[in-house]
Amino acid sequence: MKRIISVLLASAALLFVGASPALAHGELSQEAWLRLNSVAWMDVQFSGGTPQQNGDVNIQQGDTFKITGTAKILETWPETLAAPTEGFINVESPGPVVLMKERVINGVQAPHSIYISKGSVYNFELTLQARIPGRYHIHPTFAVHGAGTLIGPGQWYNVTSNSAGFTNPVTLYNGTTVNLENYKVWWIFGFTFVGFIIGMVWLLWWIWPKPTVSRLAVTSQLSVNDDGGDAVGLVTKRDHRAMNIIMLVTVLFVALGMIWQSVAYPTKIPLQVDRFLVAGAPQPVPFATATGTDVTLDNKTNTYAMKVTLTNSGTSDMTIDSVHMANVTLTPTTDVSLSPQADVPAGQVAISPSATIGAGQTVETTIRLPRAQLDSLKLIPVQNANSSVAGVLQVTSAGETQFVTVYGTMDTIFA
Amino acid sequence: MTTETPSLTSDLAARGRAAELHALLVKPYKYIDRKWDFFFWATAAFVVGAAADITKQLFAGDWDFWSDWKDVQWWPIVTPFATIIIPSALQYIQWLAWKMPTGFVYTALAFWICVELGRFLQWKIFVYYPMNYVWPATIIPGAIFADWVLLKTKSFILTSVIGGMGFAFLFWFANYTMLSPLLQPTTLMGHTLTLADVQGIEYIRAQTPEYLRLVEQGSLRTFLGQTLYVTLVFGSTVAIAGYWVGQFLGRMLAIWPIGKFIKKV
Repeated sequence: MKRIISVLLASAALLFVGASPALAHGELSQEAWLRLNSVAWMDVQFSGGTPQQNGDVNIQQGDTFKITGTAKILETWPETLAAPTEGFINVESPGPVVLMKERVINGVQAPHSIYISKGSVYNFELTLQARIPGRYHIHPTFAVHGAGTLIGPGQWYNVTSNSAGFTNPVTLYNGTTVNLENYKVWWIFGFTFVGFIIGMVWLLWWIWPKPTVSRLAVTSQLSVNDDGGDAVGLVTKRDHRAMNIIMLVTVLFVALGMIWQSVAYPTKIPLQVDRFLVAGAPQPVPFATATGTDVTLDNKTNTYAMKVTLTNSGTSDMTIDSVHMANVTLTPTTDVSLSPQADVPAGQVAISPSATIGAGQTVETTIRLPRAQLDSLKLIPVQNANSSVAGVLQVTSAGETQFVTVYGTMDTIFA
Repeated sequence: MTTETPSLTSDLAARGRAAELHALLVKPYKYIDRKWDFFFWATAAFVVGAAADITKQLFAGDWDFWSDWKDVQWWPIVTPFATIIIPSALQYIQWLAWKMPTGFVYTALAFWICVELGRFLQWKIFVYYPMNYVWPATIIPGAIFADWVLLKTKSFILTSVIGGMGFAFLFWFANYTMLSPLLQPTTLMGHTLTLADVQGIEYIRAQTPEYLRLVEQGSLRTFLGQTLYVTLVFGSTVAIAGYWVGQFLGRMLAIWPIGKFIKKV
């Protein structure tokens, strides 16, 4: 018996053991081809709070911070997924440790999901408020109906406790301000608890004075629709009277609740679904085209490169500022001594012959990608049935920026 | 010399039979005392509560988790169907075995304890959602009604129709009282929204994108805009179907195998 009690107590104790916060949000769990071909994240910035030497950002509970950036629904959206028509830009965090206070997409406030289209660019600005003290990895996310949630770059935040505590004031239509952290919690629980008490009275009426074992011996001799009546005593007139009263109390309880709520909250509206089309961000007149001609993963030389035919149809020189692949941004290396046989350092690409294309020129360009980094981020589609690789070239010319999608299928040279 | 009419004879026989059964009912059992009942009702409660909760989560999942899913169209249809199944099975078992109209209420109470405890520990303590956002719906008033109908009619068919419909109707009215403060209008991001909507937007629900919400979506709302009445009628019809799913479980997966086993023994 002592053992059983010990096991039960130990099991009960487990209920109160806190779960450690999530350190990642599954961004590596999605296959490379899905992440590469669906959404590209660009220029994601985290502002607010105090940056620390280790890269974390300290922020006090109750303070706000922003995540801004650009996401493009790529033209290479996989045919195996439903076409992207509905999306939701949000953040990934271990539960509601932060609050979403404002979401602006292409200059439009968008509280709910939006209607989207393939090839469009969405500039977003998310205003968040730190709520629960702790250290959290926060990512912007772009959920697309039919594809799941695509996760952008993340940032660690240390939310420090505020001695004043945390409240979430919301002003109602009538000017009353309520704290959404606990508004009407006790009313909701109290109402349901009263129902529980009424139910307990009903149940105890039957199970407390009436042993089950002796009833089974009797009921086994009666048909299912027969309780034997008062003479047998399974169900008596007294039982009927008591149950009628409890039933009446239940109906009165529900009716009073309905009357009360109609008086207490005369102004109510149905749940709202504010979904609408947000047009893609205006883009400049295209001055660049890019066609991927070859993507090669060379296991003999340990290199990973994409050949791209780039055309500058503008009147000024055009420069490749960066390459965006899923949630990774790579910038052209400045290390001129980098060996053609060596892997490119993390966060960089090596572009040859040059990252600059003259006006009116078409150039065969080789973009060497950081194999080790992309490998560790599971962004190289090895062992994937679909070996499509896509990215966005961010090119500028005469002060204009264009996001050009480039793609190809990966060939592998085995060692 | 007196002669008894056949009806009187049968009446006397019936009385004798009733007296026999009554004597059997009040017969004391030496080795099985009330401790058995206590342990039975207390331990079974968690099994029954878990079964009811799992069934609800399978069929009604998010509708019972978030206040901004509790809409006027789908919530009163999906949730009564999902939550009537296990109470119906228990009602059959407890009525057949003990003639106690307690199956619905017992399940509803066990369900209430499990869900309230689970919601508080798993959603409030572990992942910080406010309870006014993740409060569970109650099925207790509807359960009392369904058991009351069985007590009065002693018929599962009538209970399925009257009790099932009442269960669905009372589900809405009992829970709407709790939902109502959260349907007050406010403004967020320049849009008029309910407090429940604000909860859904502000309290991050990672991996459950907003577009998954089914709020007044579908053709039921085309009936002159009277969504609620159409929903309640449809929801109660679906609840009747759910009631018979539960009866099937009770009869075929519980009572029938036990009967076979006992016959074998």
